Amino acid sequence: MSRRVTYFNSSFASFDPDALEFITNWEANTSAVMQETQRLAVIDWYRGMKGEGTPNGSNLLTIAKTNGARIFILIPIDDITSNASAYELDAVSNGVIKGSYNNFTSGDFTALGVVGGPTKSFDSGVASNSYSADNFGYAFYSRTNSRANTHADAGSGSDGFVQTRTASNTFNGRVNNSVDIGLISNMDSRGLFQLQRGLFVGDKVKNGVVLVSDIRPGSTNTKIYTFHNYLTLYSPRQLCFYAVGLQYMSTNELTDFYTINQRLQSTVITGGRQIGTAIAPI
Amino acid sequence: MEEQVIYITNKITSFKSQWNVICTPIPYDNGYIIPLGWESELQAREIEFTYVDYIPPQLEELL
Repeated sequence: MSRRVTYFNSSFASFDPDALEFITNWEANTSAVMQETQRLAVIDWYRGMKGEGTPNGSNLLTIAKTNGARIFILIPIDDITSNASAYELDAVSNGVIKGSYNNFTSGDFTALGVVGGPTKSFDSGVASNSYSADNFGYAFYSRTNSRANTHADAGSGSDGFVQTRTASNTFNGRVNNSVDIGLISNMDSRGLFQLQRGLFVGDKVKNGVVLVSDIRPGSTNTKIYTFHNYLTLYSPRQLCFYAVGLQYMSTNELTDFYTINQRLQSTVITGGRQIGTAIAPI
Repeated sequence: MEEQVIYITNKITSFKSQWNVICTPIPYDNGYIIPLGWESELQAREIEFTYVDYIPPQLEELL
């Protein structure tokens, strides 16, 4: 009887059709069978994006699909290893759309994420001007600090870049406007970083909390589409999550988005790869 | 902060490595650069290369 209950619970969790499609596409792309730990994390992520087990129940997946966002959740092969094939799939399209890694070596990919460096970049495949100028956001999860002023983690074009650096302890960045959204000093450069622009508002966000805002309008160009770099600036940090084309999120949605993705990082490998406090799955 | 990278004099066509990553040499100092670790892939295609110290630009130069 106990075996039957376990089987039922497992099957129930796997009924999420979006998670199932993503897992199927991931397995086809990697020629590997997704392990149970990773499988459960994927299912939990999709359920969370649909509002399950989050503080405010936001249905972020529906909004992401409507906005044409691409979210790369970087599901590894197992608790130790990974590769480009495992990490290049967009979760909003359930793994149908792929980004592409440029100039990385195989040693850059582990279950913890992807380590960047000179000339290395991840292209989300998004073309410039794909999104609304005043309803747009992007995010990445950094696991490491760096020690130089010239490291940038996301961007392309002068209207979008993010620097999170530790030599001078600053978080610098802009989104859809040629002016930076305030400079933040004295901070740790690890965690979920997010920048977003709404109608006459831009926010610089870390771990779901707005740190500073401006009241500028969005320009006509949205140019964020690569990670690990900004033009010819490259970051050596280890990143384990990228997102582009997110909608402008409310305070509640930012909280839910952080909860879901901190939960993903906490569960995607045994022991977690998150920075800070782990969040248990649903 | 300098970092050593592979330097290729002649422009090459992008290709995909055995580990499913695209080789995209970046223009630099009258040639092209890619990171260390691509040597075997270049040798397999008989592409000549050497090494240089890469000095990244300052952010202010790009804005």
